[in-house]
Amino acid sequence: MSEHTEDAHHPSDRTYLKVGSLLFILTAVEIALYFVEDAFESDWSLYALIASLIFLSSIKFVLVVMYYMHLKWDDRMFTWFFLAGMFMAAVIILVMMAVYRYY
Amino acid sequence: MAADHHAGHDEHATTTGTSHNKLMMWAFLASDCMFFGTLVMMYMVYRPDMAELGGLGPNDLLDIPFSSLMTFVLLMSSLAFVLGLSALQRGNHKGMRIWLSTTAFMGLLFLGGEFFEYMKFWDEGLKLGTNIFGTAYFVTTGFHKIHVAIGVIWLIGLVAMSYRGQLGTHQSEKVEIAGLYWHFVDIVWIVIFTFVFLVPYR
Repeated sequence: MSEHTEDAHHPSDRTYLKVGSLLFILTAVEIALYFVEDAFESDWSLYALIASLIFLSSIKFVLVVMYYMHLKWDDRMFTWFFLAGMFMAAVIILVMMAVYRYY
Repeated sequence: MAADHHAGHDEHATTTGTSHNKLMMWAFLASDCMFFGTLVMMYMVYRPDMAELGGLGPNDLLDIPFSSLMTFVLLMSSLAFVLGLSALQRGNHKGMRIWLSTTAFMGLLFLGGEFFEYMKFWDEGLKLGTNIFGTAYFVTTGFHKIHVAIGVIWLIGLVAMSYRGQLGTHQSEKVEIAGLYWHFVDIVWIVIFTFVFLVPYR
């Protein structure tokens, strides 16, 4: 693979590979945590697993959006568009879950 | 190719000063966030009831090692895609075609694996209307697979365009926009893999 240096708009191949490696490692950690929790099967281990999975998957989500989808470098308007969609999706999830579970 | 002189990230001559094609894709992805948001919501609402399902519930049917393998395939396809985009921006058309074909192959591998899993569930007796897990699982992951399939067709189209000389370096934005879609499908799977597969049902 030829060397490609980072410019103002796009990361280098090296950065892409680093992010890819991180995604691989974080996913491996998630799966390992799943099997470790399976051995305990207690309330506290379940809550710890859920918190850890949400944290790790959020990091993966942000890495892909920032580096592979270039939001770190691109026009801020794209970020606001995406955040608006994410915000409305979060509102839909929370409101509808509340409605269905409690009413 | 004569027109291959620049990767094409100059200021755009539009009313917003940015690419309207990319803006349109981001607007679509924002709307797709809400689409998958409703599916995830539906799954989360019925998730507590799924733990009680004996025989044809998630605890009996979900195969975490296999799904993990498919997750690695999809994640690495995103890496292959960005390396293809990077190759095109350097004017390396052959490299772009190799990486984008690799991405499409990984997408097909993911679809094949998921189809195999669907068939396994089907053989066990789980169908769309069998129970709430069947409905929620097939609908949520099914719409994701439709997205992946569209992405694979798009990728094959880009590679075909490149072979026909219709995808110059100055048109890298076309590949970048397809990439936005592909990576979005990837991040949706990151969410689905966590909440459908990894969070225990009990």
